[in-house]
Amino acid sequence: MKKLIFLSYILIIVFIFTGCWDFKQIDNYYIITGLGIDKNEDGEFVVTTRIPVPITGLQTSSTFTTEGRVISRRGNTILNALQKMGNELKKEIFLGHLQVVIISRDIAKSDIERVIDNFSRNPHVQRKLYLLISDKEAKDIIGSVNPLDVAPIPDLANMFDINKTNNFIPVTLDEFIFKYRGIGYAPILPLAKVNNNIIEVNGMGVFHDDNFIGELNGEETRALSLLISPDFTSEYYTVPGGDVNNDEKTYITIRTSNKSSKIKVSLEDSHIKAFLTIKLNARISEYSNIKRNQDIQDLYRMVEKQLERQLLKDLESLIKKSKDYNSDIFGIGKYVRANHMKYWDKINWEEEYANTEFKINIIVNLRSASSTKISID
Amino acid sequence: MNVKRINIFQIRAILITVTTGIGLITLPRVLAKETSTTSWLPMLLGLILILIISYFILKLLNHFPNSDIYEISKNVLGKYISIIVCLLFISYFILVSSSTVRFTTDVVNIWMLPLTPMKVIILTLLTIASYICFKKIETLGRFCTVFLIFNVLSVVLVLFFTFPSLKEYNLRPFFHTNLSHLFRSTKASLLSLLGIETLFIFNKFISDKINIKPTIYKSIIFIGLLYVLLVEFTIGYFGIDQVKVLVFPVISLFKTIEIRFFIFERVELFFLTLWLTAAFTTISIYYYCGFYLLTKILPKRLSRLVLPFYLVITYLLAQYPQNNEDTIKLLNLAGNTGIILSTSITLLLLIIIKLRGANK
Repeated sequence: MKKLIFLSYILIIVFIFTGCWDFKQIDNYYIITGLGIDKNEDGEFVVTTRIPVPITGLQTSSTFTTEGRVISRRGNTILNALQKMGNELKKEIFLGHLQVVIISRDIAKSDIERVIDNFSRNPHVQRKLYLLISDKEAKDIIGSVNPLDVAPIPDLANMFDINKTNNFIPVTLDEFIFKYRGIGYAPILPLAKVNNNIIEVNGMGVFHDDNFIGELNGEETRALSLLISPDFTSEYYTVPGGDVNNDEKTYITIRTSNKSSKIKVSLEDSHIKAFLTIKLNARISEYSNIKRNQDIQDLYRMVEKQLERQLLKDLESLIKKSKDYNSDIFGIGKYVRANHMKYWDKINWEEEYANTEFKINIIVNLRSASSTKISID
Repeated sequence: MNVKRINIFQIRAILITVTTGIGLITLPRVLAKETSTTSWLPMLLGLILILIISYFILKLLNHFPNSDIYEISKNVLGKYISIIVCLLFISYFILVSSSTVRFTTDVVNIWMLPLTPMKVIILTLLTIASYICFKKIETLGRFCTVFLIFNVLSVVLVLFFTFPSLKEYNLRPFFHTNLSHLFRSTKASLLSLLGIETLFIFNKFISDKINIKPTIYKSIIFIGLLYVLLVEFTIGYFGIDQVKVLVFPVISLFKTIEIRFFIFERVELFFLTLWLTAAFTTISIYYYCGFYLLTKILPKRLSRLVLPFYLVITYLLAQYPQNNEDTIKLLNLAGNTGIILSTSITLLLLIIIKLRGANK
């Protein structure tokens, strides 16, 4: 009898606890991976996405293929536009797997808060989604279709994950919010544009006072990357080789490794001095100008000098540009704030940044010339 | 006398699980809002204060090792005043358990089950807590021992995953605050460490009275230091400006952490499951305490019948706050009541005992 009661208890529980208010039938949702956000003349958002076409039967293909339909709708907020979209598509749009959000330049200039707010508030949205600024309309990027891309948006996200091309620094929603809400950094976002239907990401957009103010090109971005995320900077540098007196044009390609960077800040006469130190190991990867009886140590010294000179030049032009924009892309402010709080309380960093004095120290340590000897004895 | 007893491990488990609770996920924001990067200081001060309060409570309990708060106050103040004391404590316990259950429900509603009605979640939690009330104290002890590991794990997880990405510049300057901010912040940290007042009920049942003092101090210091690290690590990870705007900084922290080769894509749900055990143990212990005192002041035959009414009162009070802010206000009210009630009653009883002793 007791067993019977026990069993019936279990049965009742099984039936009671099956239902749930929060179940989600995957058939009833469109899972989207990319979102483009533009603004029209009335100040409304124009939200564009690619709706995957469900594939049935024997077709072997992912749901994210170029087959998808591109659809855009207007709305006062992003969710408003998505809702309209969902109504017309007869299914709801699910943001849980969003990977890339592309923002038009207009929005980046003045309205980025409205975009960030939606994504940071929504617990479904993953905070490791990548943010991009589009050169023209975000719609074009979402809509671009070419034979190379099997799945443009997931491919884009994948490229950011691997992060090796190095004309840009991938920025996730998270990192952007850290800098955007924080004081003492200026946020940056990669720039994307469409060329012949091919999506290209090159350079970074720079913000000042939380608004898009200007851009860095690929070279400058690389210099910045060496400073703020050294591990992800691409390995190869090509510098002019040979003696300075010599007219012949040779180039040396150097492979760098173990890159590290350090930022230190000191306060002298109510004036901030920033010390940037970059350390890296290198080895020669390509150098065809082999000579007889050349002193290897001299050659190594020369290559080190060349690379140091090159990096210094890049960094100096980057610093100049950041001062022109008055945008603290290095995050010097956070060090000032941590170490010189009293000074920090007195000043307005957004204004003060341009007066910062930079001291750059680059230490290149050339270790070898890979697997071939560089001079013939 | 047929009283079920709990051993020293169980009382340790009860103390730790009752202390680690809902404060866990909001504490870094509450402290950072007032004292920014100096938040470790109010947390330590809170720990010291709670140790002082525990000292007095233990001193009082030392006089009456085999009594609960009802019997102590009956002994010292007489029957009628003791009933008033008990009623105060009961209302405090109801306030804590209902506001905690409401807060837990709010969090579950935001992060896990947005469409599930609030009533269902509250009722589910309270029904399980009521089941524990039906059983004896030993069940509660075992229940807390089982959940102890999850409670501690929820804090340790935070420390473990944030440690690699701590930024030194987020933690500095170490001293940058003023007294009024420090005071408010210390009060908040004190509220989060409250839980020692449950000893007024559990002390009676502890089998090993000799080792009780060091166990309790050790448990409180353990939790306090864990909380100091929690606050510092969260601030060190996010930076002070970010912590201030996040409603639940610790959950958001898990949202931003990417753990490779982890099965779940949303790690915060994993953390929330652990946190839910911490919240639920807090709810059930306070709920049990309230019910226990209620059965004490009522005649014996009514004691079991009163449980449905007790459940309904807690449930209705949990329904009362209109929104999230109201819930937090209710929680603060409960915490303040707890501090005032436990310190004032303890001191009052101690003074009376002292005076009587002097008279004799």
